[in-house]
Amino acid sequence: MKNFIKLILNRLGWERLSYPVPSHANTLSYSLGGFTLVGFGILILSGIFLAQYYNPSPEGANRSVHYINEQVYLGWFIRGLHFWSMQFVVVCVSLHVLRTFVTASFKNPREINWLSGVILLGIIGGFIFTGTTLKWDQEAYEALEHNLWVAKKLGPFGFVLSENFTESVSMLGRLYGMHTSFLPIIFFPLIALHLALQQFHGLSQKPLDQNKMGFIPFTAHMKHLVFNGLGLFALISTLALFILPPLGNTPVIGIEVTKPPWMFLWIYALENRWVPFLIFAPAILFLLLIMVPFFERTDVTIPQKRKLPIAIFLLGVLFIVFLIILGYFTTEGHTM
Amino acid sequence: MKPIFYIFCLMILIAANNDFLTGRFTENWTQYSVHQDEHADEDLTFDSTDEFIEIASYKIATPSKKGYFLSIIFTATLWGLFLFLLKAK
Repeated sequence: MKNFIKLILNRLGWERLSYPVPSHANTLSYSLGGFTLVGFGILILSGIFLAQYYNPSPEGANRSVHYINEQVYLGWFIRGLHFWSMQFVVVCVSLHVLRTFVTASFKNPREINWLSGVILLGIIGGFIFTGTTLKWDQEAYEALEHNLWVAKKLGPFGFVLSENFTESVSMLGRLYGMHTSFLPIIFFPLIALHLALQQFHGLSQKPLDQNKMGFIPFTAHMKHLVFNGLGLFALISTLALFILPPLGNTPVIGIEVTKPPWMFLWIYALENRWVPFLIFAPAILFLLLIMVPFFERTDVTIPQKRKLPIAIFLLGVLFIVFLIILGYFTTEGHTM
Repeated sequence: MKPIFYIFCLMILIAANNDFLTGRFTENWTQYSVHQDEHADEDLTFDSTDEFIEIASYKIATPSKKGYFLSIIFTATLWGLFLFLLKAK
């Protein structure tokens, strides 16, 4: 058996993957990108399953999700896996951005990798937003209303996001198309670029341990990701087993009563103060993240010598956390 | 990096809080926004809290028990495999 496995690995070129990578690749903080990929793997597989039963028309969408939950064999469980892996992707990717900034991994020569990561973050936001609308309950309807409001305010730039773009397909059908085809088509080449650049430049050094860096074979890092990915999958599976994702009935058109998922609550808190923040808040965050490698161009990576940029970044993170808590306790106060 | 681990656990706890996920309705049923521009001519008032809750509230759909046993076996297998590999490490 051992010889057979050795032969297969040899034919697959496994030994060529044994090139050295820094040993800190196997620490939690440097594995968050890999865990995000594991989460995406579960999302893709569970999403393919859900797509077999989902009806993207406004008349049938909510009924079909209830059908998945109540009639399809293991449907409720697979929907739970899809929902909870999305939660894990958000957590892992947020911490991945935080770690990349604090350890200055975005600096020369990895600026393009940072930029591709920021675009990927925006696409993940798009996946969550479009996914929220698909279940077509009260929350989904209100998310769609926000989409239409933004489209209206953006004028000609928002035309493609408006209902007037076409009469042949419902807005919900188009958002489903975006969720399952348009966004993945952009996402996969970008993730390939992100990984290729990572491979090309190598893993960034730990700022404080530059002189005593050890190395491990890349195959050991792959084993680490597979092993921990399995643990992550077990955790997601447990959550899917015990905590069901929310699902309401068909929406009451014309009212706004729900709050968005927790990762969008910071926008909701701002929107309650001034509705146009719905456009400005994500745009400002996106622009600030894009500008990071252009603002901080020195070669200094040690956190103690980067006190100001790290303080500004962490203040920004704390502000978003504060807004999320505020959004959680805020009562609806705006009318669109 | 321990802080990352603690933040990771905290974020998962927040996401796992069922109230956080399902209690996303505004606390007071009389305080909802009506999109006046598009629905000014429609009757969007409710007679009572009960009616409002009946029409618009979140209900967690009752899942089918089909495959419940299989999903438990699947989850237990994942944990078993993970713990086996952890021990073998």
